Amino acid sequence: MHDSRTHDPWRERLSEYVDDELAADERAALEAHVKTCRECAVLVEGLRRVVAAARELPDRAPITDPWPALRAAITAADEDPAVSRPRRAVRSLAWAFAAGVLVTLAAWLAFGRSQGTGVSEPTVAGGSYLLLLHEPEGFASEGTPAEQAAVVERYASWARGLGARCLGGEELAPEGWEISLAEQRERASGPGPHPVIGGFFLVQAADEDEALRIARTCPHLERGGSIELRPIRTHATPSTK
Amino acid sequence: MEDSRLEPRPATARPVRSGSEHGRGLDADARAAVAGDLAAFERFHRATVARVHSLARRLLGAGSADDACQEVYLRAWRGLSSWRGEAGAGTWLHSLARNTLLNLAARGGARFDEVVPAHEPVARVRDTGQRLDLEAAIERLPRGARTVFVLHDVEGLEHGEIAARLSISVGTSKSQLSRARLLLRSALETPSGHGPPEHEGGHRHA
Repeated sequence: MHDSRTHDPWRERLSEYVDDELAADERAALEAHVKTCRECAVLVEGLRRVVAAARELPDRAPITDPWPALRAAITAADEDPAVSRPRRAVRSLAWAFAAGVLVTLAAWLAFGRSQGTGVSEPTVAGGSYLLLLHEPEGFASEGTPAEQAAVVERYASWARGLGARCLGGEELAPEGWEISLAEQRERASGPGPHPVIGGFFLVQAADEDEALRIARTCPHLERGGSIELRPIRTHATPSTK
Repeated sequence: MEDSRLEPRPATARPVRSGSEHGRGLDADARAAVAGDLAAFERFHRATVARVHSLARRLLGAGSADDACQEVYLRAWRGLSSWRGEAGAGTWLHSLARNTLLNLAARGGARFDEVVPAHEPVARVRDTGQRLDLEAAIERLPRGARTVFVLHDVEGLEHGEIAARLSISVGTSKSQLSRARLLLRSALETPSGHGPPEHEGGHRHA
């Protein structure tokens, strides 16, 4: 009656069923199935037990008292202003996100890097890569302030997760200027036929494979955007330190 | 027993809500700590450390929990001045803890791809025979599944919040949760006979 081909799809939905997240028709169909399938019935019971146990999971203090070490660290840090300052900068930025302000990621990224001794981030050898965030037609770039703030936080959180690999990033205003000598023109550019670049990130990666891997995790893709990844050519000119 | 100041996790496993009587003691200590009162911060720490350390163990593994937990409280000490008293100090701390720990976990390379199991972390569990089976089983989960499970089933976050926080889709969050629960079910079905541990942090000052 249920070979693995017909059975597996149900198995995948049992967790949602336990959370009562299925639509009414799906739920009815699944319940009908569970009535006839002993294996799924047992699984449902098991999943419910897991959910209940997780809810009841007791919190437990660490075995050794962490306070003496914490107090020592606090005392040491308070004597070293270079350590405590960057955190405040990051925090005030978090408030800016919360306020829905369009925010410069680069500010704190640059800050974090300049304070390299305070916030110890390993540096990454290799090359730099520019991730251009393209916004195809129909890309949802508008939203309520709260939605926009959530979007910004998504990118910011992704960038934070990259640690030292992220060298910078900005959102671009939708309109700017197109400048060309050849065509003797200088005109305002805006949302038009050309690809819209909504923003960029500059990342450091060991090689192109790693850069690609990083790009594939960018939340921009899940939002329906596409990313153009361009290796940066470095020349022997004074550049960022 | 638990320290009376420690806000109990509500039955729905939602993050700590303050405004309760317990929360007021905590908030008072937090306010004193903002003014630089280290003794008040010690009380604040003792009242909340079980929750923060437990979250750290669940998200990062026992081997990294002590350091991660300390990092949370260092940030709390420095950042308490930004606590505005709207939410309770317990809620504020828990949110700070969650963000800090998730960022530390992300730095360790947690992946949430549906296809690629990525690199499973080397088992960090030192089975002392004292842990709950479920706790040990959570630590053995693949990173992505573990993170989603802890956030959803232990912390009580919705899939939408989890997806936004981890930069994954809601579908991925749901499938990782399903995967985690199915794996944990096996762990619970074959109990190895350990009862829940006594409160090992029972020696606390009020």
